[in-house]
Amino acid sequence: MNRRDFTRITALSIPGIALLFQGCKNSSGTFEEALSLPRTLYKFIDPKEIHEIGKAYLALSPQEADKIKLTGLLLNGRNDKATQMNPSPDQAIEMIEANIHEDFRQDRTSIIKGWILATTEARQCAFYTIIHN
Amino acid sequence: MHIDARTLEDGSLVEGDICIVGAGASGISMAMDWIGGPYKVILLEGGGFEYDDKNQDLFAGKNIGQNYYPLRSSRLHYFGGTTGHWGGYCSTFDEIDFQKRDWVEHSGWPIKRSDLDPFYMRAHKIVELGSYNYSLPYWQYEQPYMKTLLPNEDVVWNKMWQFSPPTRFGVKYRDAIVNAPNVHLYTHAHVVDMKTDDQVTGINEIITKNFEGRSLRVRAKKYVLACNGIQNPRLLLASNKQAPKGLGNDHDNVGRYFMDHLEIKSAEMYLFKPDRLILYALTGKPRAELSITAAMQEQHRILNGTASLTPLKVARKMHPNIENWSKEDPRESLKREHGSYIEASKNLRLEKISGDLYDAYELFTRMEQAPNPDSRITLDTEKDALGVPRAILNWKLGSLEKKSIRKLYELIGIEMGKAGVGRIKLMDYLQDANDANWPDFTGGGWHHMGTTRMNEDPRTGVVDANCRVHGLNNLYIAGDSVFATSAAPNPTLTIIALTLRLSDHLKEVVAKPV
Repeated sequence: MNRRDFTRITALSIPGIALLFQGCKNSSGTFEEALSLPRTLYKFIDPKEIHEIGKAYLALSPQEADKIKLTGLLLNGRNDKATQMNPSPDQAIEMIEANIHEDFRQDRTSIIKGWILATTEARQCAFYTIIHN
Repeated sequence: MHIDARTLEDGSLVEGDICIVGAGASGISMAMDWIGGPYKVILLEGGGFEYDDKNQDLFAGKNIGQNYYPLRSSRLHYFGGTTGHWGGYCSTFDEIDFQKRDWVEHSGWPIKRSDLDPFYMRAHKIVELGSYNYSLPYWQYEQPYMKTLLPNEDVVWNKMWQFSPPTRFGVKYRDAIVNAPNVHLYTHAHVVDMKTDDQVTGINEIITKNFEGRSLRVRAKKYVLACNGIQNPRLLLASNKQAPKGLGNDHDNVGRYFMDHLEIKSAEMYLFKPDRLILYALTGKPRAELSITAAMQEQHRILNGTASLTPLKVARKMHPNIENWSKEDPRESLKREHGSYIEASKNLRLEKISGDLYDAYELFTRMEQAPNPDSRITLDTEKDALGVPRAILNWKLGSLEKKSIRKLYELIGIEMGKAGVGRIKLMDYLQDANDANWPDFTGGGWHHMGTTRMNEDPRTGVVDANCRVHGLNNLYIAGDSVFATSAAPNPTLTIIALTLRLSDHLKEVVAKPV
């Protein structure tokens, strides 16, 4: 993410992001759950391992150890206006899945605790770690 | 015809046109190729037609490097050689395997893959394989249920394998050899020395012995050592009466560059949607293993290797090969190896239509080893029962092998992510890119390669492109000891192809008037 995008999210969208967390819930659960549950992984990775991956990712990227910042990164991987769209949990899931696919396509991957993951997936684990700490 | 050397008078002399030492896959393939011709072929086999502990003991030796299988049990010492218990895995080497790769020190052969193609085709018949065709679409046309894991092959491709029944050479070709009027098979004729002329320019005669104390002298126009990757260098080094460093060893290359395939479990693969993945299943029919394209190998500067797939619930119950194959008696080791697989897979159902669906697989690596001069066979001061110094193996692995395994799975993992089919998890020993250690379960493929390597320059190789030992005008070597690099596939098919190529060359050479 470049400085311009980062400033936009942190400066302009923080109120928007905060609103996203307020009681927004639908068939896929809360907005927080949508962000923190790596749907690609939870079939074969238990919560404890997701937590461990998240911890390891945050140790590598301590500058991202912030819920608001991670939200922006998770949603804006593909579209920097995503957070301003005030997405529903379902929309957030869809956006994250698209970002994961794009990460693999663009080789934005890393090996964390042995798992070969899209950066977006690793950030989801980090988000999970933060909200469960 | 067959002659038991134990029945001959001590010191007997036999003469022929060519003398082949060793009746395994290579020696028998060559002898079969000469049946019915005008030449007298002498085929020497140390053992008899059946397994015998006393003969087998001549293969015993020491391991002083990376943990390895007992030398005594990693080859079979009787007519048919190690085809007596081989698994039948066959595939061809790739073009890149023969090329000089600037990221793989000592790589490059003096021949190309295309030079071997006609001989691969002939080798196919010897090991009773189907069509000489390793293209995926060909086999998918034959067996449409073979679906690929990944949608394209730009990075990861499907390398096809075929399976020999497996052909037991000692059974399949015994009658043909024994009944051939021009092939003289001598059993219980262990080669203990090779004598040269005074100038050490050629072999004058070969001396064999047996436990009955009877020696046999063999003279021929051309000699072919067709033992194996440990016994070929051992014989060259031990024949040191006229050449103190051993035959063909003016430049200290004999015994060096010992390579085996790294065969090791490496990762787990989790699928979003369970699948039988029959294309990759071990059913005896042609199957694929995942491999990295030549372009990607070059880009990432890695070795060639493949990944095979086994349902995780089966693989987790299997013991590592290095643990199973720990007995000095090959029959015991084989029993443990088979027992482990049978026990683990007793509920495995791989039928193409009704087989079980699995959502998790173990990925098992078969990786080439980079040629390393310090990985080597030397002679011990201890001698075997016939007075030949025993072999010492110092198997050494380098960092490129580990880097290559890690990258293999990283690339597979990324391609699986792109295709949206699942995820990969590396095993612990691969997780730290800076960790150069190998885990306890690291094993080889029982493939002893490279110890009399092929190179046109005598300073960096033992044999030339025609498999003739540099500096000796009538000594040739057949078998995987001539491999300059090891590629990923099991070596038997390539051993036979190279042997048939040598056989054609020798027919031309022997036909020429001296």
